[in-house]
Amino acid sequence: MALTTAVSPRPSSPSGKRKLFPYAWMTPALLFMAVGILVPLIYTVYISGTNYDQAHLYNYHWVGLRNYGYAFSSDPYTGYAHGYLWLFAWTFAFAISCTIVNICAGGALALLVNNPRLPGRFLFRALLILPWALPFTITVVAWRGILNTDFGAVNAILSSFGLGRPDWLNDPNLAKLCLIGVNGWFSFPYFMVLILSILQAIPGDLYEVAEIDGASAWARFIHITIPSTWPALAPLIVVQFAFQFNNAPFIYALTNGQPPSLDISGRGETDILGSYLFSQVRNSENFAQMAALGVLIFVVIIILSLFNMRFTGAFKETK
Amino acid sequence: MAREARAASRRASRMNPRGDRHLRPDQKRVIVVSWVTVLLVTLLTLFPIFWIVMTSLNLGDSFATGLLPDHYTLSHYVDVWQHTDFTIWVRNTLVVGTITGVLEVVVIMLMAYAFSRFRFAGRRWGLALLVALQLFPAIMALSADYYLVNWISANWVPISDNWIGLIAIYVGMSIPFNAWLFKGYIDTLPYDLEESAYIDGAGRFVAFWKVIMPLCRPMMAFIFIQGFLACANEFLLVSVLITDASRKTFSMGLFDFAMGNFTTNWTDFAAAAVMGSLPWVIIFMIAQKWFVSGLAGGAVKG
Repeated sequence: MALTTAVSPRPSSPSGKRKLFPYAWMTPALLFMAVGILVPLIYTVYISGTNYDQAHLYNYHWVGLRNYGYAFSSDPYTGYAHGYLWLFAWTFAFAISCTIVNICAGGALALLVNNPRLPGRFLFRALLILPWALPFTITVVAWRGILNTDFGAVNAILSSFGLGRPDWLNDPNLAKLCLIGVNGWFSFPYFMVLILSILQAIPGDLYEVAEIDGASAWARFIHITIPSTWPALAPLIVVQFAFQFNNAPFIYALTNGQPPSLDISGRGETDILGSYLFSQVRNSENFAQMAALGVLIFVVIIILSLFNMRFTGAFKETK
Repeated sequence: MAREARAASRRASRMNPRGDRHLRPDQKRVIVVSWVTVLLVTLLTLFPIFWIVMTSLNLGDSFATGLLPDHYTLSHYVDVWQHTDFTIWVRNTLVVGTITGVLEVVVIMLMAYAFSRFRFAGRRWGLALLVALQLFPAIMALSADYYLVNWISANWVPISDNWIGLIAIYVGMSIPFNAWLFKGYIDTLPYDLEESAYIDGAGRFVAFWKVIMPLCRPMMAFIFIQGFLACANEFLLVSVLITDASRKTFSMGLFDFAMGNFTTNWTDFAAAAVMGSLPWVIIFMIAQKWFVSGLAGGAVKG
């Protein structure tokens, strides 16, 4: 990461007695970060190396890396894998699909409503933003009702056209598609608004010159729109991927990981790592094993994000 | 507004140098196709919202058989107001959300200023840490949060089942992303303004207070509203840390209500949803301007 020293705002290095000055400014934030992130993080890493569970609530002790081995081993009696590999696979698939769908949908709509000739574009913008503006808890529960097999609105419409009643949230594959689709409904307005503001920062002269030179609309999109939006978009992609990778509240609220799988891990078919971890912490007693899984998730997300940042050039401190 | 209008006219003249009335046929086709596409997407997007409103007006406790209510009634609204803890959830959310939002604005602004305007040992590492911790999955530390809060209550000060632990964790979790964003914003403010304050004899803090802070108002509004809304939306952490029914926040109350022990009373839920959403949407629409400039400002210039 290249951190170049800025020139125009002249930042100073306090000297002498005032050396501690900058730290004083940061102390309140650092205290909250310690309470909210650092201590829980360190504590999680610590218990991931113990046998802390329901049977050892007070007398737990250090057991080394056993909990991490468990994640990749299989059950000694049945020989089935613990299902963590499936969890990892679906988590990746979910995060990647959501990132692509959300950004493409938001970007396409931003391009469309950015057209000054589009009649009623300000009305469209105001209406399309609603999924972002509404409280998440409310709308996700509403979606549960809409996709309900027996009395949901989607099936009411489909069956009135004689198209049957698909079991949206109880079929493993359909439920996965629903998750990605509904996630798109929730997330596209955010990207539409952001990309719209990025698009409006592109100087119009660039397009004028290109058009005079005879560049087609597609060529202008590829050679002007994409390169001009990329620097602002790249960090959003990285953060969005990490966010969806951990979007356990969404999964928990929409499908609760259901339908169940036959794996010994007790995962649901639509569970991602985070939602599995949450329901395990609530319902079972393997705190240490779940802490180990949590650490694994964090390591994976850090590695992926470092790779992403390299690749996209996001988060460089530039002027 | 003026800037947008100018940009629009610039774009209009770019697409059609002869003026607006003479569209080429292919340009007309593009407009028609994109208008129909946007209209369809908008209808699809609005459908769930329309459906919640209609359900809230339906007599009985389940969905209408068709798209419109079988019999219209407003009784569910009265029901929710009188027979559930709706008003308690709203009040709790207002308290927790406001405290969280204000704390976030204050601590994040101070940290962002330090990162932007000072050069000190550990600065690079601090910035890298902010980026890394943005990716920290809140869910991962859920059990640790729970045990730490209980441990602190048992051995130190009682913070379990009240909002202190909850607020502290909310504020802590929001810092990495927002401090990075805010720092990017302060980076864009010219140093000259502060400099002239120094010449007038102001110290660091006075210059910050009188010069920088007023310029940061859009960003402060963004952080506050985002923090407030995040509080009202969050339900995993709150459902782990809070068990007392009188301390539930809006989303937790509503979620428990909808996922109740018995079958869901969908019409009451829908009425609560509509009532809960209205102020929310109004705040959001008013704040949208800051939202966009906050996010885009940090993203574009960060």
